[in-house]
Amino acid sequence: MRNILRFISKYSTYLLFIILQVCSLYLLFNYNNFQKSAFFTSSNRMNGKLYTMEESVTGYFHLKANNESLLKQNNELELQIARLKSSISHYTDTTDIALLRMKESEEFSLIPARVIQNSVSHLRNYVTLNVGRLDGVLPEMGVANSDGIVGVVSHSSDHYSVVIPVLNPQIRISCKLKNSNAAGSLIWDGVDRRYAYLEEIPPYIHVSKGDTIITSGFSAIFPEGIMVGVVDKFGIGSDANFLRLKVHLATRFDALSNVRVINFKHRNEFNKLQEEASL
Amino acid sequence: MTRFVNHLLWFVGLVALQVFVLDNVHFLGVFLPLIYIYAILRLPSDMSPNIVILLSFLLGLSVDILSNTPGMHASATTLIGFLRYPVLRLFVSKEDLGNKNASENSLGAGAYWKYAVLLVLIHHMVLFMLESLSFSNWQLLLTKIPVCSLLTLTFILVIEHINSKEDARP
Repeated sequence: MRNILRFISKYSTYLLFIILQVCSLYLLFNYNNFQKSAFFTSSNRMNGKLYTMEESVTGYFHLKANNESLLKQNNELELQIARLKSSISHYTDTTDIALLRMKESEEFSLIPARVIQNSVSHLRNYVTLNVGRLDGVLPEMGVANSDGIVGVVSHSSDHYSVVIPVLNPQIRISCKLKNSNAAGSLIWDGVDRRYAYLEEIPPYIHVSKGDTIITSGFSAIFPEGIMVGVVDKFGIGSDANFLRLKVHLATRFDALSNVRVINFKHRNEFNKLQEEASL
Repeated sequence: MTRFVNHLLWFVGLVALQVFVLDNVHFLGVFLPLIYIYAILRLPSDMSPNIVILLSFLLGLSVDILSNTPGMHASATTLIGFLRYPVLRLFVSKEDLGNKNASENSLGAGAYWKYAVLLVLIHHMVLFMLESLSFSNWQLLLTKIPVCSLLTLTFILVIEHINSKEDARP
């Protein structure tokens, strides 16, 4: 017994180092298991409060740019309303109109949110939002702003949630070329926050610079047709059988402020069906 | 006691500076200084290694919790907390290790900068390697380590000089 104690006191530094290092690595490699507990992330209550305080100061910095983008969005929406009004004007039957309206609003609903914490300079970036489970935000929901897609909710607490944005190599988002419908997955290479790469595009697809890339709608996360970006460059990927497109992202990740969480109403049904099919 | 409060204030201040300010400032997109480790560098030279390691772990963990990277910073800071004493002894003889905070003044400019550069390099190397574990972009990794270390050291240089002026004041 005395020998054990002597051993411990003699090598206490090494032991402490090893114990703490094992703790750190355990946290690092089991990150996904902690997502449910949400203690070790910025979705916990204290962090949420801290970041809300920070945002109440720094939020003013992007006010002008935000204003402009909101104005732009407003204009576009007004145009869209005018266009829709003219296109439904030939429907005279009120039930037809009601059905049309229901169809549009039923599948997806939007939850407005503010970004309270955001990083773009790490390899794995995260965004924290001021909405949580009580607002109806759940993991695996898509997030977008008026410019384009932002990312996917990874976990949420009662009042806050953490989003894995496109600028994090841990997620791939299914996207497609608007004009040819060829789908691939969007991934970030960790270098430039303005660009990401669309991989697995078949080589026979005709691509040119400036082509629009939108979400494919192949999953329950994003509906089809949300803006992603435009093709900047294209070439043969590391696997020579596919093209790799450099995409200029439409969303400006260094100035995120107002975003919307997309809630797909039939999400559970959709996921259950896919699970059943893959069994 | 006042010393303890002093360390605590530096600790909290540097973590806040890192997470709320520096993480939003980026040079050429991917480079950022990791100034919070200065809280470990400046601890008294003769502080018990066990306490240094424990403090380093807590420092890393608080940065981790605030930036959604559980274990990543903690692992890197625990390592430099462990290596701090051996590295100090590498450049400074045992007699010269006073109970003052490790700084340019107390250790001498040459010894202090050798100590700071070595620990910053080790920390950044481990941190960026852990960060890119599941992701192989070694060119980015190889540029990030020296550039970010240089940025961190520049910040430490600035803080050191502000501090030394304050120390010199009567």
